[in-house]
Amino acid sequence: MMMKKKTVARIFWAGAGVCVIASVLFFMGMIPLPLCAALLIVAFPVTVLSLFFCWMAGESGGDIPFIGY
Amino acid sequence: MTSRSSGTDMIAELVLATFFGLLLLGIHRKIIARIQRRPGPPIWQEILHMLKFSFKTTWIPKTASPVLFVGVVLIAIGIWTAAFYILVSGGSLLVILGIYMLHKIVEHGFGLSSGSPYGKYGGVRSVISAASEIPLFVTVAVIAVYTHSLDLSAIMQYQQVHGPLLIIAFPAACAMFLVILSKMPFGPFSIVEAKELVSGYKTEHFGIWRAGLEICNGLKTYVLLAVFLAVFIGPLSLPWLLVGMILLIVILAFACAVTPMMSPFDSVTIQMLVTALMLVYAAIILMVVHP
Repeated sequence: MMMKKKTVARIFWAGAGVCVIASVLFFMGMIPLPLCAALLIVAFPVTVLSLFFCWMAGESGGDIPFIGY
Repeated sequence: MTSRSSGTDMIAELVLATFFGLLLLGIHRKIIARIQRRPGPPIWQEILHMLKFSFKTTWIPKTASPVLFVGVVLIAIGIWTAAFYILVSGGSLLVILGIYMLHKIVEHGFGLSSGSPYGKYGGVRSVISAASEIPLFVTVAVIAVYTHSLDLSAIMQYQQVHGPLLIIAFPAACAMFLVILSKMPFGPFSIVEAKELVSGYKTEHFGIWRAGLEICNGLKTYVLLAVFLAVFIGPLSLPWLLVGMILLIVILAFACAVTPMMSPFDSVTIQMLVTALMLVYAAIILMVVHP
């Protein structure tokens, strides 16, 4: 569950990549709307949360998220 | 709506809908504050709120079920992303309402996953407040009687020919308005967010988790208001859709500002009463339209 900032950044770029590629393929008519929507439904939440993690976590900090009290 | 979505960027639409939904929630807060003679926050407060939470320290409580605690945030955003694409593609109203019901399960999951007693009570209340969804089923039945379809695109086509369902089936519109009112913050039926529960089901979801929940709320608000306009007014161009949503949120804010929050018992009783009235109305419509 716990990750380093670098791992989160990779997840963000992977999620954002899926979102953009699905959107472009749909725009070019290469995939139908349901498939594009399905990819975005999965990738969009992951992209958003990993983006937040990415800009919240410090470079020198420990694992995130912190397993608290 | 279908042609608009196919001609523009899918992601841009999704992001803009999220931000506009948050802006609508900000307008909602502002109007309530002004009615209550308070200055209130700026209308973009909910957007700032979401960004603020995204920079806060994030943790998972030791008492939490970690997979459910994190997974439920992803699911919350995911289901409303799905509802958004069903809306823009003119898909089935029944699926959107299914997602609406699924949101109750997600709220319950939020509450139970943290292990906090406040979260658990919030989760239980979200199940109780599912009574507010029952008028929705009758509303859907009435719409189906008139339009012979539950596809949003078919419902909008029907209204292009016969006029808005807001006039033809006004009681059904009132029932759906009540359902949306029950989902608005600071409303008479917002028993899930009562102050005695601290922040209810979202008490322990702080930092990035809460920012994710704010995104979900923005999308949810956008989708619910857009569905209401699509079902009861008909097809609208984007500027008119946005104007319609602002008008709707102003009316909702007035309703929230002038009514106190009910007790869970009263809230459920009123929702059941509305359901009974809607059932009588649906029976009459069924006899008149299909004698």
